[in-house]
Amino acid sequence: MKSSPRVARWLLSQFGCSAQNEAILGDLDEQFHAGRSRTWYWTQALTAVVTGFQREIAAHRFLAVRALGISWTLLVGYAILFKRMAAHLIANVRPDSEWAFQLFHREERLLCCLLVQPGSLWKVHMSIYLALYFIVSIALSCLAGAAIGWIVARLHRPHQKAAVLLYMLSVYIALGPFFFFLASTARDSRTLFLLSLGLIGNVVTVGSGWLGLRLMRTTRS
Amino acid sequence: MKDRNALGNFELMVMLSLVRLGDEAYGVPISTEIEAHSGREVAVGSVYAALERLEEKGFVASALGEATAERGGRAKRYFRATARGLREVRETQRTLVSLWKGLPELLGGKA
Repeated sequence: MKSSPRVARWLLSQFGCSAQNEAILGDLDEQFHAGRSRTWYWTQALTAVVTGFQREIAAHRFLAVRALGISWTLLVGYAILFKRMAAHLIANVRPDSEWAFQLFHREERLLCCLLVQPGSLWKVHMSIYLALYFIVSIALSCLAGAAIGWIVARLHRPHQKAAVLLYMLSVYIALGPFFFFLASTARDSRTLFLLSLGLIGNVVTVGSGWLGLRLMRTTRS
Repeated sequence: MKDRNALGNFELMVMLSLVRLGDEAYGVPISTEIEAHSGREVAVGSVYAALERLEEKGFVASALGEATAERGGRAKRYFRATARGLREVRETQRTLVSLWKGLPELLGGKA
């Protein structure tokens, strides 16, 4: 027996918000084995994801607004905390230096500083430090994102998939044009590199929301 | 004022398909039935979205059926029109027929 497209099936099982998601998956598999094409399966799976999401949001508008409010408040709160923590981490590298403190608001200058001081020990030291800083930041973003996803899912139990999906989409929709604008106006490769780091951080934070939802569903079952 | 219980165009098609299919009404045959009569491809997801709305309105009831290997071990969900749903279909039919009467523009199949 040929198997239905795995990725499409996975997408539908993960992001399908309909209460009848299992029945839809079964129907699509049945039709696929009856001779429908892979393209048909993909189209149907994506349509089911979009339709299910739209229906959930349209039927529970108040909950949708609440989910957005809670998730964005948590996200902004985390962003502020992260900024402060990052400021301390950076400042502690050279606590005696005045400029290190100024990096609180412009972390990117730290990287630029490295790139214009070739061969210095300071550069090696900072490269290691920045690599660690980046790993820790990503791990923290992942944890925070999962926590936000978990909280949003916990507070919107009957419609948790739609609530978390709405939060993730809203952030990507809001930040997408912002990053695109910054990337299009970037003058050099350094700025692009830093933008990429920022983009990765945001994608990880928001994407981890889905991990939080999975965790919530796993602990419940 | 918008009647929340009124049947939409697609919902009416789903209701009529349910009545036609009887005990064999689940996602696949319903969408096939609508496709056969409308000539347009129907998304299974849209059928289920309509069925969920109809179930919330009390026009449709559902029950889990058997799981098969072709379905990846997933059970079918069978739907049937309730008495309230059938009343609403008749009411919609009466309204449409009444609106249709005396409209020469809609007779003879000419646009």
